[in-house]
Amino acid sequence: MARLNVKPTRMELSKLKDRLAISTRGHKLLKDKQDELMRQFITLIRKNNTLRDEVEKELTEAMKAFVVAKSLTNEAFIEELFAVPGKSITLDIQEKNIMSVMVPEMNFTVDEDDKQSEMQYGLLNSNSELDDSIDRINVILPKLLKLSEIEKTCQLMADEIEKTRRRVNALEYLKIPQLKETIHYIQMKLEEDERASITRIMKVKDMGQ
Amino acid sequence: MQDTQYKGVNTLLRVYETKLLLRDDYEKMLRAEGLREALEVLKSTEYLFDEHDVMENKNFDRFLIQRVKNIYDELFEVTPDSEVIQIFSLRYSYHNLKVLLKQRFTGLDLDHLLIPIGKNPLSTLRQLVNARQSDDLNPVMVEGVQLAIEDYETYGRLEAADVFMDTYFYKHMRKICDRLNNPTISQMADVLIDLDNLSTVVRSIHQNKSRSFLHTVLSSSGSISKKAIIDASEQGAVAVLNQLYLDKPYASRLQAVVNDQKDDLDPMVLDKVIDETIDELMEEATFQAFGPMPVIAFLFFVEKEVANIRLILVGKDNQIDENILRERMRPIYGP
Repeated sequence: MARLNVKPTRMELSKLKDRLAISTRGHKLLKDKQDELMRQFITLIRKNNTLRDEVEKELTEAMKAFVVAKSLTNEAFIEELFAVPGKSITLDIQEKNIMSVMVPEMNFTVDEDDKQSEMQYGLLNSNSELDDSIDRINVILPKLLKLSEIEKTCQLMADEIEKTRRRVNALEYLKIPQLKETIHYIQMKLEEDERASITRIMKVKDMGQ
Repeated sequence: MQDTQYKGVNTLLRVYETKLLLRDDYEKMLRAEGLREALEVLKSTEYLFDEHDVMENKNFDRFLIQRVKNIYDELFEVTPDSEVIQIFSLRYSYHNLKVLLKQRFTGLDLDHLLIPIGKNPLSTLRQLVNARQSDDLNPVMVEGVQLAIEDYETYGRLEAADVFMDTYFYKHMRKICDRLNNPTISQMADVLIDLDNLSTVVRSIHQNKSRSFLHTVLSSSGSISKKAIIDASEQGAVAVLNQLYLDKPYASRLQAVVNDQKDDLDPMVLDKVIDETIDELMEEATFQAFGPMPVIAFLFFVEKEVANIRLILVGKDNQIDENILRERMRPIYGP
């Protein structure tokens, strides 16, 4: 392990000792943060996997039903039904702090005015299969939105865990050993200087006698 | 108009009918391993398409609509009374009006959704939506568009386009059928509108829609009064059927749906039964030697043929199970 390029003085030794103390404390704190992030991340990932499986399964079925329903009528008829959305949804994103990671908290609100309108699309050029597939997609939508929130949170937490892991490793395997080695080197050097100084004084004293 | 005036068209139709796809063709398409194999079957038919382009863009509607448009254009020319053709082409005209109205209301460019099928060119429909007035179009259509625009301007409701165009489509169809003064056509209009109303009410009940919604979407142009349907709907879908439809000639088919599912009606099963009922009516019409009914029946089977081809092609493209496609196949012309 390469030691730091510093002058072996008492002042540097004192500075390095302070830095070592801070690094050791920082390492402990970051290690704790990493552990807690991992714990929360694992919980979230489990939740995410369950929800994703559920959503993927339901969405595949719903999309299959939609494709079949869509194929029963002219594509322009279907596109016309949904050309202008029947309702508008507002997305309100707030930030939540999990172990200093700012994760999104998404709130979806359907416009109150739109709720009053029962007509989502014209019935003339649609069919009951289409109603069924749209109902299925409507049921999945909140889960899909929840999944997007959880996946984004997981992604942000994974980035933070990676960053924290690098910091912990840098401190544990690079910074702290470097500091320790440099402190040891300075201490040795100072002791050596002290011994050299004592020997010189003894020699000077001998020369005087 | 005398029934014999249609003898020329009806003779021509017998030739056209030979160009419709047969059960064997559908079987080959259904059994095809993939989209390319299904398209192979269509190559020997009247459908003209560039296989490479279709395989790349999967735009089946482009060539399907072209075929339908050719048939409508030809029949508009040779049929003594073009309003007979309008009974089916109105659906496209009212679709186009909805698109143009939504375009007017929102400012979006929806031109790609327009379908160039119908007695009146798209420019005439566009002029009606822009100017709210037209001397070339039927007053029923003009009134529908005027009311839709008025409603939007008063209440700002985008669904005005759907509500008014759906309602006026039936009104317009009724008006044409009354003017044609042909008992078979009038009876057909009754069946089509009554069964569409039944399908609408069952779908609405399943979606827990309110009484006022039913009042908005049901058509009053059928033989069963809208109020009676709405009143009966308070007691459920089965009550509507039992109270209002069991005296109809097609009651036995509908009765089977009730028996199967006791106190509820599955809208999807009902839609299939409705299709079969209309198919039966149209099959009878194909055997008539005189009058406009063979033209109407021919158009019905052309529309169903296009729907079946679209279903199979989309199904093959999306690897949908053959049995699911078979279940949803619409009535096929011929043995």
